[in-house]
Amino acid sequence: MNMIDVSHLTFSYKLYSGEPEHTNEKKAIDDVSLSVRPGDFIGILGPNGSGKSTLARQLTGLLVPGGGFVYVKGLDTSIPENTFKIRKTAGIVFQNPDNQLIGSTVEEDVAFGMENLGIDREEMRERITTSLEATGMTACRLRPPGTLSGGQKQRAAIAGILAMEPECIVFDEPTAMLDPSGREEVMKAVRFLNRDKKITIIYITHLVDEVEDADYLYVMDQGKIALQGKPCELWDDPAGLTAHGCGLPFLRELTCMLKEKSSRLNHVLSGILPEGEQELIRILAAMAEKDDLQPEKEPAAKMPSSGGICLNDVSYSYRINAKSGHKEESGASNALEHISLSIGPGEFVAFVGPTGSGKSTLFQHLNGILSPLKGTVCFEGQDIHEKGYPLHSLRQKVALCFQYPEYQLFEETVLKDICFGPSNIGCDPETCLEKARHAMALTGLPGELEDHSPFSLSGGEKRRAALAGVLAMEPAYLLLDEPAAGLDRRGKEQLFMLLKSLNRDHNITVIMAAHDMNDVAALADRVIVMKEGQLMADGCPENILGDESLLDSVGLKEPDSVRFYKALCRQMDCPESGLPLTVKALAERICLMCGEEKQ
Amino acid sequence: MIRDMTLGQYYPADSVIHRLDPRVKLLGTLLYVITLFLSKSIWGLALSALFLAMIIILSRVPLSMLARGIKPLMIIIMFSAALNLFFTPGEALFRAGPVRISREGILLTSYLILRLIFLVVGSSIMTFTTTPRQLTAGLEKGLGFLTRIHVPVHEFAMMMSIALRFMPILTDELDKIMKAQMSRGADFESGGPIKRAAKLVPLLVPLFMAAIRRASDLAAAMDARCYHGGEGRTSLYPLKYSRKDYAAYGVLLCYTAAMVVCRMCFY
Repeated sequence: MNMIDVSHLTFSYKLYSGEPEHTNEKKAIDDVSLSVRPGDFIGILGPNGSGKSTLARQLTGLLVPGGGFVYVKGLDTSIPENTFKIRKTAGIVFQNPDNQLIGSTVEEDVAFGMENLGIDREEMRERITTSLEATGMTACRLRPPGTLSGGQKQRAAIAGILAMEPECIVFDEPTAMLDPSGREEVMKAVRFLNRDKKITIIYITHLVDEVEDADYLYVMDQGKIALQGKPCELWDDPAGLTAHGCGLPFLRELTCMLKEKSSRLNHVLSGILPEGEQELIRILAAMAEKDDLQPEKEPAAKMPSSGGICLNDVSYSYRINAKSGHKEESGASNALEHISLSIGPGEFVAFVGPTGSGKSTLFQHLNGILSPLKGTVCFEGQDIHEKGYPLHSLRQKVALCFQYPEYQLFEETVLKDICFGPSNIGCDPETCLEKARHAMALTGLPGELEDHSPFSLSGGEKRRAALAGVLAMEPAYLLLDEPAAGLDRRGKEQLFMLLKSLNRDHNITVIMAAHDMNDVAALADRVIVMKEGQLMADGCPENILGDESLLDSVGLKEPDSVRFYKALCRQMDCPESGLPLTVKALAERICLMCGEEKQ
Repeated sequence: MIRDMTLGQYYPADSVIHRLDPRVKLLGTLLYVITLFLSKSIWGLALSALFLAMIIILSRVPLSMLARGIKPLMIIIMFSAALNLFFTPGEALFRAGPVRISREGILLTSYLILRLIFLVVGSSIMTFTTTPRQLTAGLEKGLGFLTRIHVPVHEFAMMMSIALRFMPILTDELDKIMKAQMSRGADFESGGPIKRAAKLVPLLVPLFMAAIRRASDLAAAMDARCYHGGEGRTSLYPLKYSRKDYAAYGVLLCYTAAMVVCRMCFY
């Protein structure tokens, strides 16, 4: 018997737009059929708003089909009597780590499902022990959820589902809100459940790398299944994947680019399908000659000018509750220790480091939201915490965009919301509107959206509306805390293009915090590494992103292209010169090494 | 600002009082508060003080912690003390124009101050030695008999524990929204009360949206784990009375009896 059978499933949400007669229906799932065999690892890919999460809720009986059928181990989800049996068979782990833990300690949370099932105490304790072991959470058994890292919270949530002994677990973007080390922890736990515990996994994500080794993949777009097949079959259709808002895993993308760029490589690589990175490296190493590319002259470090933001020996700590002291326990105190740095006009700076390393705290110092306990913060040569310094005008010039900025939208219409900033700094209504419209155009929001409610926009549009709200103040410095968090590939690409053009064409200094080193490599021209409130390193991307031990010490990884290039050089036994930071740069370099003319 | 609240603060330690069943502590606190207002004599007050001192020593909660709990209530205590001091009729000891202080007034006022302090300290001993979870479990089980008259005790207890779990998360959220709006030039400090209230819209709308979003996520997560109310539910840590709980009930009974006797003999 199949674990899950879905046939011709349709489902719509009702949209209420004020008056009852204007009730619209939005099709979230449109004629979806799929089947999952026991023990499989199934990946469901798709951009934001493609209906993935709705499907996840359908598969676990949290939503009931509007049309068609969903069977979980032969049980029809639309029959109310089956509900509890289905939920016991198929568990679900959600995206937001904070919103799915109910207990006041990890142990109590794991027990929650079992308590509901009326399982007796002795068995509960046994199952808690085994499920915490399976997720590597034994040491955190008695900790309150507030003291855990994101990855630990998600693993606690997995343990809570596991304790109910399901045969199948649906994961709804479980890593979307985590940093790279948290992501890895969760992926490891998921793979373990599938391989060693033989639990069927349905893994929903918009990151192709996470489902690269799945047994079967479905790609959803606009409520339909757009593509399906074994991973290797799907990678052969890069155009199809891109059309539906998904990318290729790094290795496939590289192979694809190499084939495109060089007819010789195309000839060699099309005959065989390289299995894994090692093989591809061997093939390329055999073909390539020494990398004799002279590295371009290193860009001269910009001298810190008197303009710009300057931090002088800044220290800060949050008042930690002496009794619970839980922030210290998790090692993420968000404090700052003796930070000195300066950021000049026109730079594109990326701050990298694990969650809780103090990036957000630092950002809040840069626009005067927090004031340092020790040290000074200067803007254009003036101490911003001196008496009488106009913090208002500072915040207009140095704009801060928090993580998930769409959560601060509040007005009736998009345009009004964007006007909030300019009107606060005392612009007259005419100017406000003008600035708001300009900001909308800048972020690529179509003009017809200006009278829509900000809450009716899609995820990517909301993010852009929030960003427009900050840009409308016409800042010279733009601070962004994890601007790409939660965005799908398409949204991310658009956002990055916007940031680049703001920096280049509008001469806005962009300062962002990020955990994905691939993003940093593609964007920044200066990288600052932070750990536990201290500056670990500060330099150009080539130096920082190529320093494996440095990145490793803060729980980050080199960009894929740098890692691949280094491995290739090792294989060829030749010295490295000038690291290629993006896949495109890497592909070009390999072509050069293989003796192709530069195009 | 909201972080400074002492409500439900727990002081982790391993003491007899910490290990008592929460139901004992809840009932004990209730009885203690009632008996405080039963006694009108110095003897009754002395007995209450003695009893409280014993509990404090047993609980191993440092006095400084308890003092911190009284501080925010000092204004209320002083205010009611002043009322008593100036408006109690009786034998005048001091007179200056309309201000008149009587002997009875002084006596009554000192009783009142002591009683209020005992009350605050007594009930904070309970919150200091009982985790919020134990407290809700104690309330749920202790008031369980009310389900027979259709009071949704389990639901209230669940609401309370969810509120306690999400309070810090929403506090953080509010903090973040506030900073985000301040970064967009919002100013929450200046202006009159009406103007300031209007300025809360950019805070409250996002906060409510966040709360609703979290609530709907949490509801789905609870649904997915087969939550269906209190019926047929088991508990990882079921409340069970042990010998020390019965002993504590005995002590409580003795104390209450002594207080009643006190009241009857020294009125």
